[in-house]
Parts: sequence; C-alpha cells; structure tokens
Amino acid sequence: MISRYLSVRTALCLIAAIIPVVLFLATDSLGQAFTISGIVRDADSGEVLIGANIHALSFGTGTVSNRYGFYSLTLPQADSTTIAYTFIGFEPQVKKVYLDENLRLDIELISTATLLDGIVVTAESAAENMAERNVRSTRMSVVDVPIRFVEALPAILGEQDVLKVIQLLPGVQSAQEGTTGFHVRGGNLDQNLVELDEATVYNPNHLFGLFSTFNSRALNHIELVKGGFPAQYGGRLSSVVRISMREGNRKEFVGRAGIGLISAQLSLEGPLIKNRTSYIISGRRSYIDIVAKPFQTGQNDNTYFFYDLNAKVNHQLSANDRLYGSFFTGRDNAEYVDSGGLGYGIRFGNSTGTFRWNHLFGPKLFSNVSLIFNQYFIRVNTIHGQFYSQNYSGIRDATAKTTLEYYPSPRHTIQLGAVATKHVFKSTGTGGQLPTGQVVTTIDPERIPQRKTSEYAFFIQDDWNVNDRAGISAGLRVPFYVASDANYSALEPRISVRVAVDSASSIKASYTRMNQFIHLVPSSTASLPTDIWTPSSKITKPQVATQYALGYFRNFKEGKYETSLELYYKEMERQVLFREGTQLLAYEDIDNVLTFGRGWSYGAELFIRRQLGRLTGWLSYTLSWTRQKFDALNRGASFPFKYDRRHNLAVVGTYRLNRRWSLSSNFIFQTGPAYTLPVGRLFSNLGGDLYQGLFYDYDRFNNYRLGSYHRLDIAATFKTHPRWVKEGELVISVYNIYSRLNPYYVFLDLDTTSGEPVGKQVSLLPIVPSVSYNVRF
Amino acid sequence: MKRQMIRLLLVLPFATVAMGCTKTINVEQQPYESRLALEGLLMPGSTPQIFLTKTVPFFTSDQTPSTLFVRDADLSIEGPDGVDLLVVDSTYNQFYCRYEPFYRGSIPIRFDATYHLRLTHSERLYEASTVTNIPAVTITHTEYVSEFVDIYGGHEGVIVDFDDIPGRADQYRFEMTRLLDNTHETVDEREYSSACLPDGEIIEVRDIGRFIYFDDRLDGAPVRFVVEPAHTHRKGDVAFLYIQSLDRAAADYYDRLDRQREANVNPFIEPVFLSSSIDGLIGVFGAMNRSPVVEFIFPEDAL
Repeated sequence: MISRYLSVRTALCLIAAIIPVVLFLATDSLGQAFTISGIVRDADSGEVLIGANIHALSFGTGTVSNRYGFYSLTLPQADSTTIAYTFIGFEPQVKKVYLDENLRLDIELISTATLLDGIVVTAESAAENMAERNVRSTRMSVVDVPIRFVEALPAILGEQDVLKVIQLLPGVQSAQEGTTGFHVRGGNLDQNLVELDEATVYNPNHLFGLFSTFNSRALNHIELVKGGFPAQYGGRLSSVVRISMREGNRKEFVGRAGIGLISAQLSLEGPLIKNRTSYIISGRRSYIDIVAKPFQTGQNDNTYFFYDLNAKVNHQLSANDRLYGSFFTGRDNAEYVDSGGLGYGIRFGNSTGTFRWNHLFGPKLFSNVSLIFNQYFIRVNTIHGQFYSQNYSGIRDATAKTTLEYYPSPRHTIQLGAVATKHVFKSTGTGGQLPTGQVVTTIDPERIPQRKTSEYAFFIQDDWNVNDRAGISAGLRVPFYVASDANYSALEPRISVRVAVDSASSIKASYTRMNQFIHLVPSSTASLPTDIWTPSSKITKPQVATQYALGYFRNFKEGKYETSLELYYKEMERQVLFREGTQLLAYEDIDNVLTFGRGWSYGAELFIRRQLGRLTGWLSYTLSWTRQKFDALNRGASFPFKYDRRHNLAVVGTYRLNRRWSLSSNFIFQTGPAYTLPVGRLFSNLGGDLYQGLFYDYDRFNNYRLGSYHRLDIAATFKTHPRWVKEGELVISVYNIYSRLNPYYVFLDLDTTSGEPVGKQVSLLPIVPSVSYNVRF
Repeated sequence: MKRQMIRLLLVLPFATVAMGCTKTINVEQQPYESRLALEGLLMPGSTPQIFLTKTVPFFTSDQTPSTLFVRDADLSIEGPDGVDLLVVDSTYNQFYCRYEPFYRGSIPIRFDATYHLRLTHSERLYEASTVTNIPAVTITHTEYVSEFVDIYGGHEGVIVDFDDIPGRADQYRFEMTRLLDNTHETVDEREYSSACLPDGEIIEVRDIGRFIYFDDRLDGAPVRFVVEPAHTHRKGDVAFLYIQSLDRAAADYYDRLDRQREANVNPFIEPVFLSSSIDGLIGVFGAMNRSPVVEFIFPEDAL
C-alpha cells in the first residue's frame, strides 16, 4: 500500500534521489553524438505543428515535436543522414544533413490543402509515420483529434465542437442528449481535466451544454488522455483533455468570418513583427436575443445569449526564447419562464489567462514556465411549481508551473517539473417552498465566505525506447494538498510498457494511480445544472483511482488503418454523492450532506481509424460496466453508475468528393443510462393528517434504464471562391436526420382519470437542420 | 422565393428544436412482491394500536387504508403484564369519509418496560422489541405567530417552547388535536368533507408535526417549535398541544417519511429510501411518550 501521507521534505528527497538515477540510465553510449533540434511549423501560417514526426531514416529512430513544436534528436556522428519530417495533412519533407556538429533545423511543412493535386499520394508516407506511432509509441489510451477533422464533421446548429467529437471516441460516454459533458472509463464529469493552453476550464459549455465554449477556429490541437497517464498529468482521476490555441499567422494578415443559425464569429490574425510576433483574436456571439427582441411583449421575456473571446499573442525574443500570452473568456446568460410554473435564470462564465516562456538551454534541454489564472462562476435560480432553488458557485485559481524536457538520446525523453495552484472557492445556495409574496432575496457573492486551498506537485517522467521491440515509460508524481483543516499528500507511480509483436503490431500495458482534490458532486435529481465544486477537507478526502490497461495495437495496409483494442480496469475510492433527501442549501456545511463510497469500471474499447485518402474517419466501440457502492445509499448494496452504458458505438466519416464538395456523417448508438424509480407504494396512517398518503418503496438505486440512444447526423461542405474573399465555405448539416426522440429523462406523474402513477419521458432534440457560411479573407 | 427560402432555413431549426416533447410512456413494472408495512408506537398509559398494511406495486390505481389493510395476520405483544392478543378494530374518519382499520390491544402499556411484538402472516413470523423508557417533556410556553418561514414555505403558526432533557439523545415532534366542523379545510390541499360531516357536527382531528427534532448538537438546550396547523382555524378555536418524545427507531422512520415526501414533490431533493426497524418488512415498532397537554386558543382567523 502506497502511503498517502508523506511529508514534502520526504517527497523532495525521493525525487532528488531519483533524478541522478534516471539521468544515469538515460545516458546511452552513443560514442561521438550530435543533436538536431528545432521547431516544426506550417509553411503557410508559421503556426507550430504539435506532434509532427521526425524520423532519422538511416538510424531507424525518431521523435515527435512537443506542444510548442520543438523537437530534439541526438544521433551518432555520421557523414550524412536523412531526416524525414511528416505530419498528417502536410507534404512530407526530407533533409539530408551532415552530422559533424549540433544542428538547429527549423522546418516548415507545406499543407496539402494548398497543393492542387496529389493529396492522396503525398499524404501516404505521413500517414504511415503517424500510424507508426500507434504501434511504436509506449503511450496508450491517448487519442489525438486533428482540428481539421473537427471542422469537417456535422455540427448542431452550425457550430463545430471539439468536445462533441471527443464524445465519439472509445471509452468516452456522453452525459445527456445534446450536452458536451462526458464520462471517461466510468468516471464522473468532474474527473475530466479540460485545459485550454494549460488553464483549467471548469465548465466548457454553451447553451446548457448543447455545444462547447471552445471556438474551433481558434484552436490548434486537441488531445484526450484517458489512461496510462504520464507523470506531468494530475489532479483528475479519469481524463485530461488538452486543447491548444493557435498562435496566429506569422506571415500575413488573415481574417475569417462565419455566420451560423444562432451565432456569428470573426477571427483576425497576423504578424505584428513578421516571423517574430504574431497574434490571433477570435470572437463569437449568439444573436437569438437580438433577433427575438422585436417580437417580445415585455412580459415573461425569455432571453438567451452567449459569447466567447479568444486572444493570443506570441513573440520570439531570440532563437532560444519565446513568450506567449493567451486569454479566453466566455459567458452565458439565460432567462426562461413558462406558463406551467417552471422558470429559471442561469448565468455562468469562464475566464482564463496563460503567460508562458519557452527557453532552450541547448539543443537537448527545453524548458517552459507558465503562469496561469482562471476564474469560473455559475449562478442558477430555478422555480419549479411552488419550490425554488438558488445557487451560486465560483472558483478562482492561480497557478505557477515549470517543466524541463531533456533529450539525452533518441531513446530517452525525460520530463521534470513542478506545479503550484491556489484555489479560492465560493459557494452558497438557498431553496425551499416559495414564501408568501413569491419574492426571494438574490444571493450576493460578496457576502459568501471563501474557502482557500492549495495544490502542489512534483513530477519526473522518462520515456525510454529500450530497443526497437520494447519501450518503457515510467514516472512518479507527488501531489500535496493543503486546506484549512486537512493536508494530504500521495505518491502516484505511473508506468507503461510496450512490446512489439512485429513491425505492424505491439502490445502495451499501463498502470497509473491518480488523486483528485476537488469534487463536483453529481445530483441524481432532475434539476437544472448546478455545478458545485467543493474542495477536499478533513471530511471530504481526496478521490483516488488506480487504473490498469492492456492493449493490442495493429496497423493495416501500410498504416492506412490503425486499430487498437484496449482492456481496462479502474478502481475509484472516496467517490462523492449527496446523502438521501439532500437539498443542498448551506454550502458552508457541504461536507455534512455528502456520503462517500467507491466505484469500479472495466471494459473493452475497439478503435479503428483511417486517416488517409478520400474517406477518413473512425469506428469506436466500447463495452463497459461501471458500478458504485456507498454504505449510506441503496442500503449499502452496489448499484450501477448513472452513466453505466453497456454498449457505445460511434461511426464517424468524412468523404472528399472533389476539391469543392465533401460529405461527412456520424452515427451513434448507446445503451440508455440508469435512473431510479420506486417499485412499490405504501400507506402511512399513524403519523396523523400531515403524513396521510402514499409513500414510495424503492427497491434499489438506478433500477431502470432509459431507452437506447441513437442518431445519425450528416453534413455537406461546399467550398466556393467568391471574388470578394479568398475562400468561402457553405456547410449544410442535419442533426438526428431520422428524428429519433431519444429519451432525456423520465419523471412520474399521476394519470388524471385513473389516479394511477404514469411515467413521462422528455425528449429534447428531434431533427435539427442547420446551415452556416464561412469566409476567409 | 429566395427570400422565403432563407426565412424557412432560419425558422426550421428552431421549430424542430421546439418539437422536443414530453410523452407518456409505458414504464414496465419491475417484479415486485408486496411486503407488509407496520407502524406501532407504544405509549405508557395507552393500549397498543398497530397499523398493518401491505405495499402494492407502484403502477397500480389509487388505494385506501381499508383496501391495503392486512386483516389475516396474528399479532401479539408480550410485556410485564402478559401477552396481549391484538384484534382488528377501526375508526371512521369523517373528514376523509373512510374507515381506518388497525389492530388494537387491551393491556395498557407500562413505563420502562420491555415489549416484544410477534406478527405471523402467511406462515412467516416477524419479531421486534421496544423499551418504553422515553421520558416526557413539559411545554413551557405557547404563542401564536401570523407569519413565519420554514423549509415548507411561508405560514402562520403556533410556537411551542420546551426544554430538552439533558444527558441523553432525544427526538421530538409536535402533536395537536383539534375539534373541527365542516367549514374547516386542510391548508395545503384545501380539502374538506361535507358529505360525511353534517352541518353543526364536530369531529376531532390530530396533526402530528412532520419535522423530527434530534438533539444531537444541542443537548439540554431550550427548544422552540414553530408549527403550521394542518387545518384552517378561526379566532377562538381551541387546540390541545403536546410534544411527543420518540425513541430513535421511530424518529428515524418518520424523519425518512418526511424527507421522502419532500423529495417526491420537490425536484431539487435527492430521493429517499425508507428504512425499517423490523426484519422482513417496512416500518417501525417503537416507543414514545407525550408531554402533559396544554390548551391553546387561536387568537385570530386563518382561513
């Protein structure tokens, strides 16, 4: 059993002892060796390419560019060697170099979109190299989603969405119809860390979760990690979604504008100092409120709007120094009242700011220092019949982070770092039956007491390709947590191993242990979203997960098809739910209305992807089981997790008809989520008149299942070249083309004639056609 | 034409989203075997009363106490004065126009004695015990308040003060009996019964507070209940007030009933499972005591 309580001093000593051992092991005997390093960029925009392949053909070894486009490859001295640079969607580039000194090689790859012909042919080798990573990399349970692919998929109401695409990946279960929430390998929503340029986005949703707060036009790269976590990842049990913003065109001014059915967006980017400083600013706002305004009478006016704004600037101080500043803010505001006694007002917003400094200490040592700020708040006021609920929750974080990446040899990449985060939480709520006069005092955030906590972590990770047949990736993360009434610390060992079966297939296995110090307590009621984050305390201890995964990875047809089959088992301790009968009112007392238990999930995930040719896309299928056990719930017996979906199938594809037309489609099938209904009724008489009536006899938690969820979406994209802009693009899409009324939730009602209880099912989104038009100027 | 097409394209998505609907569905009743539900609280000085009903599958038509009552059970309570064999009896509730059957014993309950319940039904034996050592408290003060707010909303009410008994875990709830005619209504459903209650005739009704007070955090402290009467009243109406002291099993059961009732109607509250102090059935066999009665006269109308 790994100690969960060790001192900072002990942990630092441990890491300090590990570093020289790792460095010693990492120093391969290469004889006289030289290092090729540099940045890989898009030749059109100067944007860095994250995850580009760099392959030394003569030595049969290679590396991958990091999230800043940097790569480092140390090779034995040679008269000459050939280095191939490849990246999906870009023309491969081959460089012949003389290895008699350290070389700085910044490379610009040309996008295939700018080539007239030969898209299929020229991309082949890139795809082959990319797919090779599926087999040759030690990492597992990681999926990269190219942003170009996101933009080609069907979009609801014309809004492309990165988180919707993540829901289509294996091991990921979508939360509710239409929402961007997701559950990874049986984890709850709060167990996903969604980062935008390293800043946590606590609620990445717009329009009640119908689509995410991320404007895909401002994004560069998306990565989902759901297992086999390297040591630099921490703080969440189930997944990390890392989203990188684009840096802006370093070469020329480019504008993009688009209008969809509910929102319009504008992006501007360009160089401030050519090839040294660039910027991008991208904004999006819905206009339903503006269109609807002339038709509103002034009574019970329902309104909704959202906006988001991304901005980023980067400056190259010198060949070895680079500064980045990125900023994001998004807001939602909705007010709704119907004649049936339902009314709500919801306001929420995220803001983040990230400042980073990249420094190269040499061709083998890359460093990054980040200062990150983020803020999130949500205010939800709800009236349902004679009852009301009012909640406010806010979080402010300030984070400092530093990472060193050391490339001692082509076989080793060592990462070492530290991170410190200060959290400030503010939450409160009121509720009950509406008072006489129906007037409720609004919560004043300034009067809510603060809860302050801190998180610190140190990590070290070594990715070591032992030889062509085997690799090992081992790391240790040591998190510390400090609150006013409790301190926690832990050791989180991480290890992944790879054994090649042959040149086209490998077997991988991983073990990870994770701790989570903040919690979002899920409510099982049918209420509107009330995202209440609460920090760990003496009573609410950190959540802990241990995950084992085993996978078989194989490529077919020279890398045109990459496939994987992963099996996983995840054990989650100290899971948090509300006690029975809880209506969260006094957040200062939240620890006392929570109950703690454990959960476990296991399953198999199949992934088949084709990234090459006119038809690209993937098929993902997940077969999984997730259960929970709480002493104080369900009479102590285990029960299925709400989003325990047995089958989850997604088929996603885009087909390029010609240079102007492309078609895309996705089909989803999921087992319905579990929910709780009583199975019997009983009468109480002894309690006197106020107890008169029938009560519910519940058998067990989550004893019913909503009906299966399935839908088919399609989209067609038509590229135009009007005279007044460089390029135009018309996107027509239809969500849920056969208009399946998928169940959203079920509630109980009384039949007005028989007096018998009946179930009523609410469905949200039938067929939704939409159109959007985008231009580039 | 082109303009109309554009309008159509704009309107269509919102029209289809608005089609998202609620429909009645056939929720399949899961296999459910009816269970016995029992409520019996023994109070020193009174003869035992046990309510024994059966539970029914959830998706069945509305039921009454008479249809749910289990008549073919054998119940006995063994105490210091011997075995009391309970018999079926009933009262007629003129307010709701219905018979309310129960099992009645004949031997008065003693204070600080152990009682053992035996229930046999369908060849199965259920057993439970309780000890009647719950001390009674004394009401120290009462008054009327025309407006107060609690978790059940804004109401008028009756204030009742008493002192918690120090040095032990106690649980309390409020009780009020009143005499009503057919012009009085229940305050929540606005129900009243004229069909079974002729003009001028008076009946007794009993309100028991749903809220259970646990003295876990304030042992020995003064306690104030502010209670909403279940029925309307007029100036000069008389009520008789008590504080019930419950044993832990009874308090837990009625607390869960109360919280479940809230959860059933309030969509913001987590569902509540009912518990039982008797193996194999739902319900409670426990003990209670009652404070000396205090007469209270309503100083104003609340209709």
